[in-house]
Amino acid sequence: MSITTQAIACPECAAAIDAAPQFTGEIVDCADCGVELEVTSLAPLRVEVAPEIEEDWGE
Amino acid sequence: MPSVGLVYGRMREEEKLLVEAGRREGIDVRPQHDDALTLGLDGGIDGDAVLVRSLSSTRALAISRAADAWGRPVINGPQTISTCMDKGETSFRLHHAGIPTPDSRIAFDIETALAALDDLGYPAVIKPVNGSWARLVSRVRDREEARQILEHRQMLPNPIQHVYYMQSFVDTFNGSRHRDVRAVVVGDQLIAAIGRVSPNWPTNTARGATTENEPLTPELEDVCLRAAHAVGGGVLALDLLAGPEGWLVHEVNHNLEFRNTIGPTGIDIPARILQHTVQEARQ
Repeated sequence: MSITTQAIACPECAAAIDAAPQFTGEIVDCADCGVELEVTSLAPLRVEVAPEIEEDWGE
Repeated sequence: MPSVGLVYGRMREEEKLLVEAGRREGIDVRPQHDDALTLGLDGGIDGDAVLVRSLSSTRALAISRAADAWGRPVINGPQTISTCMDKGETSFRLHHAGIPTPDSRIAFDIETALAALDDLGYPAVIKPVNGSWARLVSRVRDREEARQILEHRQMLPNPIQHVYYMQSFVDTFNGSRHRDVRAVVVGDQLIAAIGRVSPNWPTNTARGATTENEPLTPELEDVCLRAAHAVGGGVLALDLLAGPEGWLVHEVNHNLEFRNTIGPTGIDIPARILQHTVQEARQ
């Protein structure tokens, strides 16, 4: 499978991020501000600040 | 071969390993984010069988119930998820199936809970009935500490936090480290186990515990398979403690994180999970 790297702007700090996710729901870290971003769309690539852990998350 | 609908909430390392295992094993794995699902009267998940990997246990149960109602093979089934989501029910079912488990109580009132803790003895453990990753798990050494924890819990807005689940503390500290065992059951087989060791309690890998292979002895296999059956069976991660009289099962998890179990054991856990899911779909 060929994976295309796409450039996006961090929604928190506007830094440029190169990412090549294969699935929505993947987490991408912003190297500049450290925020965790969740991939919400692959084409076009979109990310949102990942939600905080909820009470019912886990194993 | 039946296809597998892999329903997830976050594409963690485990879900990526499941997708990779599907490619290796020639199993058609179809990942679907639970945000994108609409469950209708006749379906809403792509795949002959459903493998529920939602990060949210609330969503996992809703998805499993729907798939089960459609007559679709689903791992794990709703009875198993429902039981594992409730640590109290899990304890009670384990005990009544003859599985050694730490003494456990549930109470709803602080004074009643304190009386139950007096009866259990200190130190004791107070946990949410439906938490994970050791969230809000507290070891209390005396009545004063217990009251403080319970009063904090009473102020939390979610009423489920006002269900006080209390458990005897089983001390495995050997002077330098605590240790418990994580065992993985897939269907009717114990496939892998690790020891989780840490100078800190609790010994959760989400909190930095290190891992080592745990030999699969007949005694461990027996207690794990009986415990898995007691909660409804499926693909499960059991947490055990070595007590003075043998193994104690203290928790059973329905949505196992297995990334830390593959290395020490060498077992291809994602492939085993997929093979089991396909096997269930064929029956």
